[in-house]
Amino acid sequence: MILKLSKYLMSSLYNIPEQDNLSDNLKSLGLSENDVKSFSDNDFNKVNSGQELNEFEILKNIPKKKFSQEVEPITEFWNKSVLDIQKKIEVHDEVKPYSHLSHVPVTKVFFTPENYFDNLSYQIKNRLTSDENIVSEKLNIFSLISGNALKYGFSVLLMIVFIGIYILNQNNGMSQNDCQSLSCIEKNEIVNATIIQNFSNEQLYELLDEQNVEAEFKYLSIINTSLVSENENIDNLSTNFLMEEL
Amino acid sequence: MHYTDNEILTLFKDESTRNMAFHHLIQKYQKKLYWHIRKIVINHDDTDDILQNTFIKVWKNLEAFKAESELYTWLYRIATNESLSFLKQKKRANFLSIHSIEYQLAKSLESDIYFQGDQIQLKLQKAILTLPEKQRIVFNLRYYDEMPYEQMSQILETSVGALKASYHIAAKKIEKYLISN
Repeated sequence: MILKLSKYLMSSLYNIPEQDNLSDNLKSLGLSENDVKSFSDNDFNKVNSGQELNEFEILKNIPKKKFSQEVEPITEFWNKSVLDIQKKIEVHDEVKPYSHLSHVPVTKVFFTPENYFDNLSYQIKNRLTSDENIVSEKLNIFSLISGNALKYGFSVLLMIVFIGIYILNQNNGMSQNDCQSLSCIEKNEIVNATIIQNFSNEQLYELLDEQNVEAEFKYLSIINTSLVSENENIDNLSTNFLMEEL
Repeated sequence: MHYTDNEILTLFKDESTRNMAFHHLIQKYQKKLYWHIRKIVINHDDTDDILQNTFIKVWKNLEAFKAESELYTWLYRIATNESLSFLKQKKRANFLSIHSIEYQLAKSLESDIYFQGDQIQLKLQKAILTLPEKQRIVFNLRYYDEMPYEQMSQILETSVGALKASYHIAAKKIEKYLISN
């Protein structure tokens, strides 16, 4: 049934003529009707008994395949062909309403470089091998990181860092006398420093703004000229005067 | 010799026959997957890259394949996802919008040495490239590969009804493009 249907489809789709006529069949085999007539009864008997090849030494020794083993793939082939043809018809019917699209022939428009598919599996295998090598290298590095050698190395490094920090801290303690920053000043020093009486004259001079003092000095000189005569020079100012100024 | 999918899977599970099984798998599906990818990304070199990545992914994950779906469905799904993510990366890398990448692909067709279609074929390809990505895949699978909707449904994880609708909308858009151009 399937064979008939597919033969019909093939003949209708691809315009293959059906050869039911005996003489046409003989022609297609390269025989004339006389050839068939000259075939003796003895020859027919040989064919019927399957001994027609006995006289051909090489041919008769080639083992025959069983017919049942060959017929199966042929049926499969026809089944597949029928399905393929049905699919084509379905797709064609779907596009039929679109007149422009249905008139565009479905052809192969893309191409590949020559022998592209012959080498593809080898290319992929090469890539896989190189990828695996990279992965194994990474794994080696990872195993090194997670291995005992690195654990010991890391702990030794940590110890060195801690010892280094300890030594640096000790050095800082020893060099406190040279420290210039505010954090180095002890609390007592800060408290004492606020008592202005403990300042020496030189320290007081440093704290003074010379310009302000001179301005003040001029102002005072206007009020009291006698005071100016005694204290013309800023260097001659007494500690008490400076204290008052501050 | 052609092996069935089940035979390939069985051979792949055995360490001694794994390489041979993979070789047969590539031989069996390389052309189908190549043309599937090629229709999405158009360019041969990009297709080659994506195809190789697809098979590398297959190699890495085939052992864990549980055969809940058919092998070819799984392969097509990987190839489709790889192609779509490639296009996304390309868009991101070139700061392109969805429409401009399709425009670029259409432009590249004209200078592609591996494209040998005539004017009408070029026009059809350009029309197909105006479709959204998934619609384009549906159209190509149906129009060129004549894939049944049921198979397509498994690959794209979309219902048969939605796929049919998508195909007809795509055909309509292409028809419109062909008329207007």
